[in-house]
Amino acid sequence: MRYLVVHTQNLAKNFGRQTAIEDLTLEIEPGEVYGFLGPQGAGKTTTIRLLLDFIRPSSGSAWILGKDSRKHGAQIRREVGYLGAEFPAQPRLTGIDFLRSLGALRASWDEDYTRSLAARLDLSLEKPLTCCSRSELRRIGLVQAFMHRPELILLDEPTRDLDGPALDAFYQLLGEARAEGQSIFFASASIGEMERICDRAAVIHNGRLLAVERGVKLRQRALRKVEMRFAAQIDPQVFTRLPNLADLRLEDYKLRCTLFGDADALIKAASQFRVTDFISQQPSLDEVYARFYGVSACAA
Amino acid sequence: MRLNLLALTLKTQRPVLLRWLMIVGGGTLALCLLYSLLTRIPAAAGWLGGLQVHTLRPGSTAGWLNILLFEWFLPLGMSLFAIQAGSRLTAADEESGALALLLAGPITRRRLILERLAALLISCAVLAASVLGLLFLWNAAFLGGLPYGKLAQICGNLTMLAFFFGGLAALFGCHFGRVTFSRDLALIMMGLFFLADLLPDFINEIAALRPLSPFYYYAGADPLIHDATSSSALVLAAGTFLLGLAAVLRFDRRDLPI
Repeated sequence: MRYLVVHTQNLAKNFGRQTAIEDLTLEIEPGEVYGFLGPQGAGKTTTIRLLLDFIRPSSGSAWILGKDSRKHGAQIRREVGYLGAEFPAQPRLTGIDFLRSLGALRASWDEDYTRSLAARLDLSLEKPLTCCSRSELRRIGLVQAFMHRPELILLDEPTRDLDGPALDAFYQLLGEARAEGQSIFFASASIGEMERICDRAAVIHNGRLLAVERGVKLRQRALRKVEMRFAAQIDPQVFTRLPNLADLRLEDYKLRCTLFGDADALIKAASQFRVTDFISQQPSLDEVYARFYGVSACAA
Repeated sequence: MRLNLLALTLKTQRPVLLRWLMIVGGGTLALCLLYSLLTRIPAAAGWLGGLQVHTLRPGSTAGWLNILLFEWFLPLGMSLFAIQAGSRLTAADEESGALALLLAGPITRRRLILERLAALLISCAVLAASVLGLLFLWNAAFLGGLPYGKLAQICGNLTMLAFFFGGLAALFGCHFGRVTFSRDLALIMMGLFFLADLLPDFINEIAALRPLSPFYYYAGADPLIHDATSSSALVLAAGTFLLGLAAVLRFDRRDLPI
């Protein structure tokens, strides 16, 4: 039988009459960075809670690292790192005291490694947690998720509150974790992050799996809202012939369009004219959902 | 590895326990010293000697201790401590979100709640032992003649009573996941149980309620006057065990929105 790091089979969770997760089947390979893409309320956090056995499924089952998540929860969590969407600020504890208290519950905790992770995330561990900014708390949360070198890391919106350098350091950590064979389950509402770091991503909507996309395909499907300004009048024909543009609009010296995937053809076409400004924006998740999956990202 | 969680809980509870040690110990000491003072003033001693509360005479050392310490101050004070600590046992971490980080570690819910209940029991025992220590010191310094065995037994019952209410608050905390609500509910229950034990002294018609109260099993036999009954202690222990068991099962089976 094929070894899967995470395997859920027809997993479902209802809260009263409300369906949070429906018929969810996921398969995550060892060493994979697996994205879990969905808007707020899609069921990402509920799925992670089910995997960690914080809540119990209404039907279906989940196996983590080859073991039943309900029967072998403690054994499984020995090899799992977790960062939740919200990070609690413990009163009276410094960062290192907090990490020590969690590390004391794990046999494989190493303070030197923990401090090296904190240093990479530019984090002082001597500060009381109540004095830490949201970004610092998030980074402490990341350190505690990685500090025992787990086989599987479950991250729920990990980049929330992270700024530029911390974000780069985090992506670097992810890359190294993947290189060392660790698997990462990464829940986020940002398609940009999924494109950037995930080998595969499950797209979830209202608790139902819409698709599982390869990273390459996500990148191909990458949408950009592009706006270009030119110094003089341009020939619209140059752009209407391009295959991966939609919603093309030309107003005065300004071009607006939606670009799919590779920007090479657009830039080469634009280079025939003098470009005075170039703006590229990611579309909202709602637009991506509507265009590719035919649904609205807003949870029903 | 096995005791880390227990040690961690005791360490976290240390400031609260110290505060309650000062409250309970200070109150015990103050009442003992007040008794010593009153018995040394002839007018006060005469007045005290003439008092009678039901079958108890506060003019005697045992009567004073039974009425003021063992029927009022200590059971209520220690139960208040246990309710406060019990309601926070899992619910405080559930409210703050810290429970998610703890349970994301290699521990089961059962182990978490059991070790925290053990920490609560130890805290209650430490409080009761400190009271016992103070009474021994007071006895040695001012009185002599207090029955040490009976004092130890009633302090054991105190531990059990406090743990009963701590277990009740913990059960509410495990069920509702809210500290304030669980604490207030347990306080109301404690008040009702206390009245159920107290009021039959004045209203005979409700005497049947008395056996429903844990206070009845804790001190109903006035162990400093009469012999302490081990069957009362057993009933209290059984009730406490059932509450602890219910708390463990509820916490183990519930969906935790963390």
